[in-house]
Amino acid sequence: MSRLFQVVLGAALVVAVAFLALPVLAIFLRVPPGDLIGQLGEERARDALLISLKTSLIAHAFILLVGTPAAYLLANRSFRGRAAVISLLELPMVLPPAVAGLGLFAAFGRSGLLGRQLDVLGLEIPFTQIAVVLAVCFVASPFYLRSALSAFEAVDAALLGAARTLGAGPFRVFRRVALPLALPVLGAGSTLAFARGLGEFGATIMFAGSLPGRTQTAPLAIYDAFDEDFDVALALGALLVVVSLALLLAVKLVPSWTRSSSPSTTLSAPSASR
Amino acid sequence: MDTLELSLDHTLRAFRLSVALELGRETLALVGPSGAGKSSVLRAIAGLLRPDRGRVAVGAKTWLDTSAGVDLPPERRAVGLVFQEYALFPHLDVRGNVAFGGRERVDELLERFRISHLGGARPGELSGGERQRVALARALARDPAVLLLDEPLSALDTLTRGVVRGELAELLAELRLPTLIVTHDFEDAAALADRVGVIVEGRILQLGAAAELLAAPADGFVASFTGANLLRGTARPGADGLTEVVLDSGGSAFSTDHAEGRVGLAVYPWEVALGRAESVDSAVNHVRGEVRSLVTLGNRVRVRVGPLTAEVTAASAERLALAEGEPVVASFKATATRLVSL
Repeated sequence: MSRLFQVVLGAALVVAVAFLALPVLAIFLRVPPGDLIGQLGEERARDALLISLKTSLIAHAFILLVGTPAAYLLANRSFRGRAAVISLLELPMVLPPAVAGLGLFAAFGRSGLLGRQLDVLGLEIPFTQIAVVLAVCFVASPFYLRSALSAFEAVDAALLGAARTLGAGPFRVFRRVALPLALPVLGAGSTLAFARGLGEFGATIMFAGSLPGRTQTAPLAIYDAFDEDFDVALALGALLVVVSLALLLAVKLVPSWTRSSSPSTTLSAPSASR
Repeated sequence: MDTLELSLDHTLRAFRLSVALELGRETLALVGPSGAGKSSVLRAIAGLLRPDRGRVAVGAKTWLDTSAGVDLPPERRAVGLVFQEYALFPHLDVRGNVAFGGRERVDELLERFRISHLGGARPGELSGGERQRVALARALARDPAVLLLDEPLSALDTLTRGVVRGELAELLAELRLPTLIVTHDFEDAAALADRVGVIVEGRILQLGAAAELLAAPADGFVASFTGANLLRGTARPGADGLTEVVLDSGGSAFSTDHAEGRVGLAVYPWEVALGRAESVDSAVNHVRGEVRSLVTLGNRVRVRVGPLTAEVTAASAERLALAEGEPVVASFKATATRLVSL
């Protein structure tokens, strides 16, 4: 009986690994690597990659700049409705991407909630790179906020109190104590959010469209090239696999490296699985 | 002369914290069980907790006065707070930790606490005693007007504890700052402080020199907290002007204190003598029983006999050939007992 159980467990693992690895391997096995790299030189592929990189970096800067202080405040204050605020911030993680795109349109579209105000400012957002950035921010920031919140919550409150009694004002406490101690987990969350943003598809195609050279990011270009030029799609896909793998390894390796250099750190395990 | 004046009124989860103290250049220890509100007193002085009502002033400076709307943030109060687990910054080395409080006196402080050679070490690599020295150096780097120590010895193992206690007592005598220590250990409090306050559920039951508390505990709680045996019973006038206490555990004991009704009879372990047979001496109180346990503490042995704990020298214990299960007689004088309310 226990022998059979071991066999069942082993078989389940083999099926899971095979099923998850096969599509990824298939991308690389269909076309020789040299050809893959060559395809990336195509104008359409290059444009898409540059747009992806640019919009992802801009979005990521916003996510870090707004998300870090927001999560710090949330981690150190208890107030009524705190749980509700956290749930609201997490909502985009589970929201269907099409709904996210629809919501962004309804908020920032010309006839949307803020349409008139944006019109006055001469801003038209849908189908521009700003729309790509907003879509990425919307779907990726919750991943960072969630990690940053647990990172700051894991910092021993006594350390923050100690810093205050040693003469440090709130900003110095944040910069010299909370931020360095939270950094490994912040880094992991930041990487996850970046990976999520880079792969953004559903909300972007609805809100920003898929205009080559303007709003077409790498995932959108893959979808576009899928019918016409499968090799270009494969080349972009292969590149995204490599980038994603690098980001995943970064998430897994960075925290363990930081921990080993400061054994008494009060941080909990990185929330890579969130 | 910078005196710390303090009056606090604050609702905690289970009770109300209500404390008023005045400290000159002395060390005062608040001693009480965990959850008595001791740490809250320190946090309120440091500014990490805002009490419902209260006033904290050091010399001419007012740090907190809720009625006047004064409430300085912690960073503007010249206070040195040493946390229970020391709260050293794990990402900074020893030098960085001390310098966080103030850069001017780092070398002098590292030297003074004999931790110069550890300047580049992370807190995680230090022993308990070393961590405490770093925490003290860091707290003093700020040049505080008041020193607050939260359970300064509880994070240490028994072996280190005795040594560190001695060092700390010397340091405090040298600093002569108004110092408030909170601890759950009366022995630590007695060894470190000029005055000891026993605090329970947010109230100070008794405040005085440790010797005063031992000589005249205000009630049963203070008596047992300071380490006395507390035997419950009913007091009534007895022969020879003594008070007879009919003990709940059986038998009676005599005291020179006067009381009637429900009382606690307190007698300290070092006032209890042990013998193999009832001796003919001046002790009127005898408790016969078997030795329930023996614990050796250096040159002393703590012996449990029935409801009593006796403390005798290791030499006496050996002479009497004390062993668990052996019958012995524990004796104590009527003059060595205190009758306290329960």
